[in-house]
Amino acid sequence: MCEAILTLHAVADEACAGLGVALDAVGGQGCIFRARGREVLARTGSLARLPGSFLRVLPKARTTPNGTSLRSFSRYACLQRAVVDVRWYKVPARHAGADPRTDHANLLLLPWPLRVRESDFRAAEGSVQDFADETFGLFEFAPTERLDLDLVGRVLAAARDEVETIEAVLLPESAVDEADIDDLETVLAAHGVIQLIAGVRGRSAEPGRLPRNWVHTGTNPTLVKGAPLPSSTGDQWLHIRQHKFHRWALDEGQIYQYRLGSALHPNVRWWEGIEVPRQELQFLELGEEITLASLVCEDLAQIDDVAEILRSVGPTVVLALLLDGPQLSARWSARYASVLADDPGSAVMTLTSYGMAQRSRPQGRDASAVVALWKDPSRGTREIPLEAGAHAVLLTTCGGRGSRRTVDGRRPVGNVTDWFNVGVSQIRAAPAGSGPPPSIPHRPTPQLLDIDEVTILTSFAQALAEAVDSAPDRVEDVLADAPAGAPWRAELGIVEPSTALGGAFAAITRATREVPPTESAPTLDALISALDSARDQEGIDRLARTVLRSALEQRRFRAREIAS
Amino acid sequence: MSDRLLGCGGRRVRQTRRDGGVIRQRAPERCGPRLLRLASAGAKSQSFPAVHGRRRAALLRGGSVTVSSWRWRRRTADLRLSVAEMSAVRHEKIGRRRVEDTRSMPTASWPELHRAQHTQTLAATWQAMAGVPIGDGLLEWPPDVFAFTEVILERTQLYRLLFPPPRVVEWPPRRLGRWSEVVEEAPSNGARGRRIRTARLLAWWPRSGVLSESGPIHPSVMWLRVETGDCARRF
Repeated sequence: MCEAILTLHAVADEACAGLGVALDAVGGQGCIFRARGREVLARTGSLARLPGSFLRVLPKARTTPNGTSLRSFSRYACLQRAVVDVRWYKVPARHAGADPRTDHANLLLLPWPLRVRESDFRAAEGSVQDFADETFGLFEFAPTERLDLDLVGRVLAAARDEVETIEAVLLPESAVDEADIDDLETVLAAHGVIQLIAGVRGRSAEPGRLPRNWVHTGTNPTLVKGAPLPSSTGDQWLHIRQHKFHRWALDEGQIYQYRLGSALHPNVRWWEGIEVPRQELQFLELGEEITLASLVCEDLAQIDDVAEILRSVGPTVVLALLLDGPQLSARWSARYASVLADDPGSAVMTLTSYGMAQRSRPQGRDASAVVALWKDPSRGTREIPLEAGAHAVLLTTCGGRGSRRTVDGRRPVGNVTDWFNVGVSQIRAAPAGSGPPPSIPHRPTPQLLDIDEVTILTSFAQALAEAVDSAPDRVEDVLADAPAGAPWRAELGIVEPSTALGGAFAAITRATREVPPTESAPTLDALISALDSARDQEGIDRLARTVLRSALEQRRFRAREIAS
Repeated sequence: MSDRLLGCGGRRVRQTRRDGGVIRQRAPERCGPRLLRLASAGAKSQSFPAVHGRRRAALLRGGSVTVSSWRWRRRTADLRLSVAEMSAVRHEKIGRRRVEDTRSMPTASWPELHRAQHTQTLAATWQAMAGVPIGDGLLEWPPDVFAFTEVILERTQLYRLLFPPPRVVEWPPRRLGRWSEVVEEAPSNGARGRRIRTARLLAWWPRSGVLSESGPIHPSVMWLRVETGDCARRF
């Protein structure tokens, strides 16, 4: 019985290979199953068909290097009780033509606001109450220093002068007002930035309700890193929100530490005045085979169901955006980062604002300029300061290969991406007037597909790439399986694709059939060449072909690696 | 005539039969805590010491037990107690409740709770955790199979048996040859697409026996047997 259960468990686990990150270990025979499984995951937040309120099966991005717990017995899937809602997104943003395993990313850290005033913290009006012999109140954080978009542009110009391309821009918790997101993304798009990961201060949805606090992850729909600067801006970015669901409590010690005594009375326990939504954890899978999870400040410190999911899934990188003191290796954030770096072995980065780091003076010590901390299992901890006069920190990170291991006797497989930092540079803003040229026209265009639909389109493109590479006889089956009306969706209980998504499927089908007919089925190279030769595509056609090209290139590099 | 049933602890009290004989009987209010302890510890039916013979048989058929209240006996007020009732009342008051008090209590009887604790099956456990019964469709979707086996492994902690000492299971199983390769290739060998998986899993499934009606372990197998590792040794 034990032998049978463990063997069946291992077989089922192996059958789940490639349902999350597309892998080289899987052949083309199961491509339709994987396309369906990925769509089920995108629609329901679980790979399983079980009722979502009970159990949730999620892909596993990496395996724990330690221990002999049940988590160590699987390497492609994990089981969770459905206490926390989970969403899994795929965005195939990557450098065109690059091997995902030797890829790099330049991250621009903007530890803003650079100055936090005591008056930026305020007691919420009428919130102080006595409860159970304790006086508590709610506080608000609203920095008077607004986001300076011109400074953003000049910092980006200076950073591009250093490294040519910036892939992602990161800002700490509550650094951006909800109303500034679109303008900020427009500036980033003009500089060719693909991703924005920023802490956002929400606004109250209606009178009497508290505002929300979240990590905003925006993705440029061009989806190509390192591409030439655009001739215009205005495309709607793809958005994900990771809400904060644990309030920060400022106690007496912290009020002294951050020198907030005139704004918040030290004898009152001050809770952060934010709405606490239902717990939901978002995973974002990027084209470099990176799985990213983001957390807000206090959520990193809470060992609860969210932490359990993180440990089971093992994202490649965990980003924690904080409103906190300096990110020294001796402080709490480093301790909790170490927990995730040890098990499951994720790289963890924390980022706070320079203004808060400067406000922190515990027990009369001097302020520290360490605004970020990188921790990964292989290279340890790195404190990242913002030097005097600098406006930003440029962090260069690289990917490498790692192994998936289980303790049930299966051979290790080297199909995990490890991510580590390789360089830190201080960035000082370029002189005024060196931002994005004012001649770039801004033409707002409606969003073609939302993030769920891009995820499903990517899943379909990955299945097609698997079929083209390993099972050419299945190409037509894959193409026939995607459009609306395919019976399997009703059997699995998921919704039919929208008209726009159907149009994207059709665009991919057309692109596949544009390959000049040969005696054999189209190859990866032939299909990529056909995509390259078809220019001047616009709208949904362009987006669909970009997604397909990304999936084909990923597959081609894996195929070459296996062949070599 | 009250029933002699409470030989389960507590101080002995002197009682008189209608026929004039004298028996010694333990005070029922001291029996309550022990019964509750037994219930909460999930004691086996065989070890339930208080009910014997025809009364035990009636109990196992779903009936309830008539227990004398040593304090109210002289007023001929008997209590009909079930485990649910005993769980619902504070044990020190068990012997003092009147019939009309207990009738408003939950109607679950001892056998029901007893069965729930001792005959917890794979099927019942799976349904409670997954919200759906075990069915043929389970095999058609590998993530569902993964969830099922993971639930079994989590609940039984069978995976501990792989690690010495003591090594209960030969691992990897020698009769399967190169086990690692077998399980890695199982999902993609043979037929095409999803049917491969189903076929391969179906090939594995009878060996586990947990789903097969004619297999060595019926779905209604007592969970306890799996939990204690008894199944691992027998099959």
